[in-house]
Amino acid sequence: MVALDSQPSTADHSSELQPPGTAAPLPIYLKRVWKMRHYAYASARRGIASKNASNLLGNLWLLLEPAMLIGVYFVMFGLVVDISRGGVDFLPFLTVGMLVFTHNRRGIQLAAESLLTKAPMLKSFAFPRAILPLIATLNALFTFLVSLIVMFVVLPLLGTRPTLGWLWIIPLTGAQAMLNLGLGMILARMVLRFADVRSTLRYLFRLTIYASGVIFPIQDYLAEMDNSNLYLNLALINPFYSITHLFRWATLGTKPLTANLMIVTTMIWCVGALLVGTVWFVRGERRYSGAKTLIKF
Amino acid sequence: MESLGPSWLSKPGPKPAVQVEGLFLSYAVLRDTTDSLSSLTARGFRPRQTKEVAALVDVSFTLQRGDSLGLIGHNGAGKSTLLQSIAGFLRPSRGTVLVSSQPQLLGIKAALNGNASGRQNIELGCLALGMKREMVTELVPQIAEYTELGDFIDLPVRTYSAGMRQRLSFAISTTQTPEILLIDEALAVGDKAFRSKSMQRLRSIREEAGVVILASHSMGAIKGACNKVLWLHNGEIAKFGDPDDVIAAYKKSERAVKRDVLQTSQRKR
Repeated sequence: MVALDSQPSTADHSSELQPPGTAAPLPIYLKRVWKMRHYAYASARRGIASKNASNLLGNLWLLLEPAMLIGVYFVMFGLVVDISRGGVDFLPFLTVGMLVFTHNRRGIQLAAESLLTKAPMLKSFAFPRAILPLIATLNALFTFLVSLIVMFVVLPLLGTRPTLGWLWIIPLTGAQAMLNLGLGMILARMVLRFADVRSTLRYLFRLTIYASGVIFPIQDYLAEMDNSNLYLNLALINPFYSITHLFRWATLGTKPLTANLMIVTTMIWCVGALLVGTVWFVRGERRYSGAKTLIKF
Repeated sequence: MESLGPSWLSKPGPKPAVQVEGLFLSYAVLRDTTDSLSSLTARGFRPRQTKEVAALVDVSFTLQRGDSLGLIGHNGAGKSTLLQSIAGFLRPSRGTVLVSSQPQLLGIKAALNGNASGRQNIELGCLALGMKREMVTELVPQIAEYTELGDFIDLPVRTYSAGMRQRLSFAISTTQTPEILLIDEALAVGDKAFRSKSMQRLRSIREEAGVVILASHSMGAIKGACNKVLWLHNGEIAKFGDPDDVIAAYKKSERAVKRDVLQTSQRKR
């Protein structure tokens, strides 16, 4: 059919017999992942484009979805339950929090489920399996970048002028993507072994949305509790709490009291999750089959 | 380049390209397929039990370069599972599978994205096979033309008929000629004209590839293409060897089964 004679033969005829499959030592594995980067990029973009393919408004939903999400929470917590009692300007607070948290939630969930949702790919192609959580991470990242338009429109309308500080969005977004990929890979392996993890995850994120100060500033509430220091420190361990507040600092100029600690927490989480996630995921490479049943090991 | 290994490594004779030794593969499935509230109470709210299903039992064979193996057996005999484990996509429960290079599995159920167009699927598929960006750009028009899908090539794949989908995934997965090719029932794709075209394509791939393993229910296709045949029955090797011998034995047992079924149904009457 197609002239492929020019293609160099992949077969090394003198090579020894080896086990088939995509498992490899970490350096070789990462090299293979790098070689597949064009596929990961193209597949992530295709995934976003086809998500809204059957909607009449198409990719306008990439803006409508976050805008409506913010709208719903604004009606609930801004108008029905008036939350802005502590002098917090609620709408900008919510806009930044919701957009940022949605990036983490979508990225981690998509990556955690990627081996399940893309199971047919595992049966057809011999690419390193880490490509699938990577595609999920990129998908969430690109969607987030588009949804930032909502922020760039809403914040100036509400009287927040863009400053040079907004450039901090770039490294913070990168940190988010690292965290998504790292935690996503850890969870992806767990989800494949115990499908129940997937169901649990949804409710964990429901809880995290409140535990991370996405909708209202939880530190005010925590401070009122008996063991206020304990609870505040617990909140600081939560990477989503730190990331949300650092984003608000960058865009709204509200510097948290514990800013330095938050930067450290975020960096430890992002680097740590990516390292642990990569090693843990790659070590399980041979377990990721496209079979619909559980495979016992 | 020959390496200077121990003498037994460089012994004369053809080198094995696929070596399967004592391969066992079992799945663990949840014992009760539906989990009712009463069964949940009965087992005291503990997690569900799993049951082991043996898909492959002690399978061993060796193929040299130039060999073409036909896999036959009833539905559920383990043909697809064997192909999947030779590709390395399923981990053996016991035993080993060794290959000289990563095999490529050609199945008609290749993953297609329904919302993307045929052309976009070709592009993604080629990239997923690990081809370089520039090469993909060059190949996409040729592959698109090969599918003979006309204007449909730029419509979403979800609008395609089953036959059109098969053509598309056949064209994508046969773009490259690997050293070891595994074909899972991918023969006879589409209508008559395209079928002869795809058979011809498969023949040329077979000639180029070092080893071909072909799972099929078409004894004609197997006889025409293979120099060895492996008959799987309930995950075990029922017979392995010369195509004519194995196929004759398989057909004989099939006739026996049919006779049994006929007799039982007559007895019931």
